[in-house]
Amino acid sequence: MEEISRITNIYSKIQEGTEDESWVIIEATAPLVWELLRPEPLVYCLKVKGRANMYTGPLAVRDGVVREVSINTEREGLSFFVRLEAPAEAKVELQTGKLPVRLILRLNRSCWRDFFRDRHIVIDPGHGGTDGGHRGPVDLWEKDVVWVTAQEFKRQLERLGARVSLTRSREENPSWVERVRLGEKADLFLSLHTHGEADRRVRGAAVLYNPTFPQGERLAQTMLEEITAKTKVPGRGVFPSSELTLLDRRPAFTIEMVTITNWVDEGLLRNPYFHRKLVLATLSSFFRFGREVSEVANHVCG
Amino acid sequence: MFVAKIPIRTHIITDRDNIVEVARRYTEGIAEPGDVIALAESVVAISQGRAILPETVKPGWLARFLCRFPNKSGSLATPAAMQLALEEVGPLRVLAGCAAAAAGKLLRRKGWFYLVAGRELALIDDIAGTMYPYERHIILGPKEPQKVVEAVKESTGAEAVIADVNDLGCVDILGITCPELAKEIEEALRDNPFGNEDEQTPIVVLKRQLKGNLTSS
Repeated sequence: MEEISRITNIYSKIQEGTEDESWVIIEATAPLVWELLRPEPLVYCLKVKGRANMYTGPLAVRDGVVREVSINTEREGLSFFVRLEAPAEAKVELQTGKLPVRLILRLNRSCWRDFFRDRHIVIDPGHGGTDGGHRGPVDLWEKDVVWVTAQEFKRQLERLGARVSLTRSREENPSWVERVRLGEKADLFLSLHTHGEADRRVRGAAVLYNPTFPQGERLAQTMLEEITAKTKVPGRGVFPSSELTLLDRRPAFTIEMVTITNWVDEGLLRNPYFHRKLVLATLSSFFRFGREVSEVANHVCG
Repeated sequence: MFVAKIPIRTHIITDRDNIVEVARRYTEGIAEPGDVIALAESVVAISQGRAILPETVKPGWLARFLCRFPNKSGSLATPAAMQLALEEVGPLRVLAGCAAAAAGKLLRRKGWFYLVAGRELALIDDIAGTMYPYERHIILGPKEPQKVVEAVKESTGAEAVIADVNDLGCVDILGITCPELAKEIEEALRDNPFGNEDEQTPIVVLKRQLKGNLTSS
């Protein structure tokens, strides 16, 4: 192998621990010389000496803290521009004991925990019991897939310190009124469904909102934008839901995560990463929206 | 014994790419004679134009009927994938495979369908919802994998292998220039360094020796 360090890979992950972190990991064939800059509050620039043996197109991350990494090729090396969704403290760790060598940009995710801690969130997995909901063209039932997603919501939210209530157990099917009653004092009510159509060509996700909640439509738009960007499922739009008006002026939404009657969308539901991505995208949208709203409030109130 | 495995991030491979040229370009300066360049089978297949959109397939009555029987979480569960299987090996072999599968079920033996109908059908990835932008495609197995690895070896000087690896630790080698290393390669690839989902590393260099003071991974 030549002396010059060959940069071979970049990827990101959320490192779960007592303090969660977003990691951007750069791999190379030899120890790297690096420099960390912060040209803007929401941008870190990691300058690395070496030669790219990899594709240097952008890395879409969208994990709620890191939005994207773009890469500039320069004369002596590469510059990795890490664009953030929210301000986060960073440290760099160089692991040289093994090949490939890893240069890790570690970004603190405590802003997420601060945002979700102690919030009461009601997750409503649709259907259940003898009501299977829509059925996929192969064999999946709506009641089962939304149960999987609900469990992932519960896991991720509880890790962030939120209080989570589910409206049903695996084989129950409470009435809509019973489900909604649980959401009357919650900070957020989130109903999980899949869409179904006789026309199997129809696919995509939609978000339904409570029209009596003042910012419902805007937040639904943000949710759909994050979900489609992260999961690559096409969007079918955002719509008001008369059912959700039972939760008068409270933030309440229904996510139709895919159109299960479509072959491709049913295939997506078999992928365990899909549920994880959907939850991450949804939580990102609340975090992003909450930040935007508080920034506007701070601006208006001085 | 491999002392390191180096996954390499590539662009999204399409049917306009020459996989031998792609392997040469991305491993230049990293893979040396004696090292092994491992290629993910699905990406080799994609470069050969074997990623098929299901809406371009017209399933016949036999495909619609037969797709009801396989394991629903596996391949060939959709009419389009079954139609491609029928076109790949012919209806007679598929039907013979079905008969073998039925006999196997009676005797509680698994895998007899693919044993009779053909290993290449086991390589068909039905609409799986993974690997954007091919999540909407059915991906067939690569054509002539042995010829591909030999061409990669000629172009790079390193050994080459095409492998099908999944997250359950199953490694299936489809083409190899160094069969004496097959067991070691299987072990090295068992943790799926090709990655999944958003990882874009369909090429992995397995190093047999290192320069400098680096220790193995």
